Amino acid sequence: MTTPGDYAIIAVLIVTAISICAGIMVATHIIGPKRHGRVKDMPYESGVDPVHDARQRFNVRFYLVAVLFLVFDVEIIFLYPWAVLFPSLDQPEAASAYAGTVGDLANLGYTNGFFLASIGIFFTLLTIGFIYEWRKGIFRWD
Amino acid sequence: MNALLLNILILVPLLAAVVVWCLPERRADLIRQVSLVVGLGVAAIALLLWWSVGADAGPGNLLGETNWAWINVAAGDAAGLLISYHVGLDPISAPLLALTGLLIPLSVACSFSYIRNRQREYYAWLLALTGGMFGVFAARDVLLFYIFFEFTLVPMYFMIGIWGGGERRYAANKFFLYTFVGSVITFAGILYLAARHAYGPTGTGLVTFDLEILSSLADLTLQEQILLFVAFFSGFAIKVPFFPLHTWLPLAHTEAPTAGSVLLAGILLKLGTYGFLRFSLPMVPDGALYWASTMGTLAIAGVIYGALCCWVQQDIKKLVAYSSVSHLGFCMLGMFSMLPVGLSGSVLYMINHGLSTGALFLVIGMIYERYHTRDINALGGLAKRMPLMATFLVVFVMSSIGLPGLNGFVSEFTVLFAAYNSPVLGPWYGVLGATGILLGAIYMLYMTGKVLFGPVREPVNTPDLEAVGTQDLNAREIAILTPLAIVCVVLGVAPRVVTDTLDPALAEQVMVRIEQTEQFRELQAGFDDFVYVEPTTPRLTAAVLPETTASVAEGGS
Amino acid sequence: MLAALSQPISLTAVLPELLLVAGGCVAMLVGLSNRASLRERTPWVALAALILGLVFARLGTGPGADGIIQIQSGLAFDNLADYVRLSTLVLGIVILLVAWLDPSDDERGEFFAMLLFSLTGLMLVGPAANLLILFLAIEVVSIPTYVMVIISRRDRRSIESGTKYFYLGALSAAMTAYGFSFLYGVAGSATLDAAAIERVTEALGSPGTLPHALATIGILVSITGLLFKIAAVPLHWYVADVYQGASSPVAGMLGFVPKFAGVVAIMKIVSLTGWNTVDGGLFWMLWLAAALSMTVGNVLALRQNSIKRMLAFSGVAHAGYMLLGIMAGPGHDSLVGDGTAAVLFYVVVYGIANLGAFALLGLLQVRGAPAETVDDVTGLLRRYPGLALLMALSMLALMGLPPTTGFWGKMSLFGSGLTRAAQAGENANWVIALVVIAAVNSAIGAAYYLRVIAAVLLAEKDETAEPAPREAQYMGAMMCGFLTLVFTFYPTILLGAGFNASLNMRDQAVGFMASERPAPPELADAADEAHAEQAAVPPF
Repeated sequence: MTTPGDYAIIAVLIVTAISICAGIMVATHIIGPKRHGRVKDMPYESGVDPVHDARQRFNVRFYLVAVLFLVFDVEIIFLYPWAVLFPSLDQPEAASAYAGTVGDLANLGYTNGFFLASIGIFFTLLTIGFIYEWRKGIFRWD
Repeated sequence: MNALLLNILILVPLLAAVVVWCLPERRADLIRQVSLVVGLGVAAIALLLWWSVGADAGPGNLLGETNWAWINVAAGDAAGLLISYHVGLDPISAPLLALTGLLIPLSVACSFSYIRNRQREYYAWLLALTGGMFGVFAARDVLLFYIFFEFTLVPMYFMIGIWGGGERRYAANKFFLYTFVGSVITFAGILYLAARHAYGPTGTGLVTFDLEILSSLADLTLQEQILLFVAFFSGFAIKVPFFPLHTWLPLAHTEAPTAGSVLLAGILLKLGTYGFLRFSLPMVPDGALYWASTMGTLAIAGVIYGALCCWVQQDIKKLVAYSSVSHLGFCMLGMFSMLPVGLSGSVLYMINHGLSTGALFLVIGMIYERYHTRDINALGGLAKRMPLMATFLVVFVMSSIGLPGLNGFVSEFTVLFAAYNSPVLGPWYGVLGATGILLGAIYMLYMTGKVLFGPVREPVNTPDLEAVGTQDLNAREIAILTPLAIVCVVLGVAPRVVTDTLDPALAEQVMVRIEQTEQFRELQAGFDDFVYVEPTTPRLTAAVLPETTASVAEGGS
Repeated sequence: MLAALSQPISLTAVLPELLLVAGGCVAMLVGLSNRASLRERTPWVALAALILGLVFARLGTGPGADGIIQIQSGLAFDNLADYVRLSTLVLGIVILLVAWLDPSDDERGEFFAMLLFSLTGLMLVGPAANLLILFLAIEVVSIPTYVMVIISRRDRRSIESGTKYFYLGALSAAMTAYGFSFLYGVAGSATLDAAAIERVTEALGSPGTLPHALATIGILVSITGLLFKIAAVPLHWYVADVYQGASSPVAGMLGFVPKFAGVVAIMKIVSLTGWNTVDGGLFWMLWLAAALSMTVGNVLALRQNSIKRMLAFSGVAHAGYMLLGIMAGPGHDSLVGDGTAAVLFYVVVYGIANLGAFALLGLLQVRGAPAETVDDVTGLLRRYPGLALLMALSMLALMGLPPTTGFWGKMSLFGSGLTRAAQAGENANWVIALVVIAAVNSAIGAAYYLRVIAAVLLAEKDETAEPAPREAQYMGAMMCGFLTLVFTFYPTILLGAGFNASLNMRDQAVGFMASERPAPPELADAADEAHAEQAAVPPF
């Protein structure tokens, strides 16, 4: 049973995050050097004009890169916990510390082979996606 | 044996339609021969079946009964859904079946010279229509009836739409849509009735569409009956066609090929009146009584309106088409008199109208094939050129306007008699209805006089004898018209060949349901002037006929 | 967190689905091959996967003695799942045949892979016993269809329609997910089981409380989102453009796959209320959606000249008829009273007839372009009587002329509506009114179907459309005609299967409708009093 007190740590996290942000902003305002000029007053010193039509055309390849990034980067979310847990997945006592389902699986007698196969299927699907993109020529810029 | 014959009537034409469709188009002779042989065969079987129907045939003792569960969904111990292929004849449906049988070979034969293109498809549709029409009259399962009822639309739609006149597409679409719109409402009514039977207070949970069971539901409330009557009305009244829902009819008739007109007037319109007789009256007797006077009024309106429309027509076919509106008004008037004599007259009217109007369409078709016009003003004095045709035309016109001695008189007189004496309608209905006869005589004789007598008038370049050979009727055409003329005379002098078996069946199956109602007893009690004859008397119709006055004593005793 | 496992994970139970996914992956790779001859084999891979799936669906694990196999708590392989799976596989083969040569050479792999993925999603909607799985399954159905719409044709219209379909689909998915979250909150678990039904009905049974409001919002919002899938009013506007933009086979597929997924999902959501569909917000929502869908769909279809647009709007009307069946619910232990069985039957026969019409449209070419308008198919009978009759058969089935499949479907739907009216209390007249609206609408529908029939069979034209030489498409069209004929004369097979499939839903409804069910014959005496009470209030 969880009590409101169990969430106190989250409150601490929130407060810390907010205070760090606020602290940095206040600190820059106070201790940062202040020089004015036409270029220095622009929002982006890199030279990009911030005031123009937002419906700008950009190359569709950026979009493809973004999608690629999503697909091949986000998979880490699945791989990382799997890798961390893998050594103890087939041990009921150890696994039950993490999550109900996984613990139950172990209780039912599933072994490392099963868990390896599971991630294998995941990788196969990912590889098929990779081959598809490769054959479609997404990795060629021009 | 009878069961086999009855099933042959329904299934063989449908099979023959497929066979004919598969024959090569260039073998037109073979196609016609096959169709004619099938037509003559079903005619013989239909007449034989009608002849063997006894007065005792009824719900428990149907002639040629076949009952086969077609769709049967059951779930364990719970009752389910049952739709049967249940066919059988009783004295009410048998005469109509015989009429269908009689008209089929005639309409096949009259198409030989009229239909010149796409013959294969034409005869296939005609045969399919045949099977459908037999199915409607033989069906003892309401849903099966409905399926055949709707099925007849399809072949007729194509017959009008492909082989019709100038406005055929419009006429066919109008015909189809009018009928379809009405009948889906009827369908909802049938479903409600079946569901009400299954899940009502006495229901067993079995959704069945058996005619007997649905005709004897006892616990419908008055309000339910009133609304169910309206639901049935919307389908059947359009088919009849009942004023003011008749507007599809003249168009469809005018545009249809001759055989299409014959079958449309002869049989398909009877599906509507048969529906009223078979469904509306016994299933919702209270609703029927509630609406009876409205129905009577509309029937009278149809009689007079139809007759007046006929008077001003220039097109002979349209004239006959409007006369159907008028005549079926009589038929409905008799039915909603709610008297045994009226019901009997109404059924007789269905048969007689089928005979005389069908014959008129045939004769008009024959004139049209020679002169390529149906304009009354363009034709004249044809009696000099075509004496045989003129003889037949006069006979059928006389039959149509009800000359005593011919069939039309019997039914017209009976119907008016019933309306006059009816506890729900009354003398005024009889009187106003009688003006319809007067008007009928005027427009029919006016047309006959102009077309047959006086100076000869023929359109230029006619007669066109390419298709038919002789100017007067040829042997084939005489063979088509003669049986109809004979039947007209026979039914005129001896209507008892039909009514002897019909009357008891009507009393037993329809009247008994009406008499059970509270409303009818009240009406009867308040109607002292009329000496009500108990419906167990089977000879009532016969009793009012002059020819058979001698039998009154027997029948009444 | 998922509930505890009750059984070991059984991969054989989902073998057909796995086969389809594997087949989709292989098809995608084969479609990428350098060799043209190999690329042409892509549809064969998909066909093999579907046929193997069908074989294993029959031979593999079916429902157990109790009719249910539980795999975790997410999938329940009951009769409904079986029905959905088998009809999906059979129709999937037909769709595949119809679309055999549809995609261009370099997009075959994607096309057939997407087709298989979409069918897999549909097969998972049937057994989905968890809001999360249900949502995922619906998305697996939908997302591939967006892609298929775009790649089915090579012009700007298909891109426009695909994009439109995608954005509106995303909107509807968001609504569905939002609604699901409320239901999750009220039920306390995502599992669609008896406990969840109990909690939701309890919440709905106490008006004025917060759970009541939450449950109502949850049900209404999630169903509204799902109305998009079945193309019912108010989320029907996309259909005409999407159908027109997609190639004919894909449009035919859209009339079956998302609709089927949608109605099954709606049934699952409605079942959470214990099938209490005849009062409250749910009644009015279903009533309005049904009545408006039928009327709006038919009226818009009447005005179309393009057959594709006409069929699209008529699909809206058919969705309305299906909603009538859902409103009727699995009321009685008999087919005519069982709305869910009627819907399950109707959605399949509608799918077949609709697909048949689209298959023929895809097959016919007018001067090289696919046939689309009524004028394009005019006068077909003279030169291609077989195709003309197939088209007429499809139209008659859609019209619902007795005794075609559409008629049996409408009979069951209207019958269930009328049966439900007897239990609807004060709303009885509204239920009957809806049935009458449906009846009138099916007559209106006849008008535009008849126009196509008249054009195909009655009218004559010198230059008629020519069928493209595509054997597979011929076969697909023939199969549609064949199935329609079979179910016309033996509807019992499919009606019975649909009836069995709604078994569980009838059980769910029992709790709520127990007092209103007619007693079995042998108990009739004991229940006479209850009946007398019922008879005192006639359903009108």
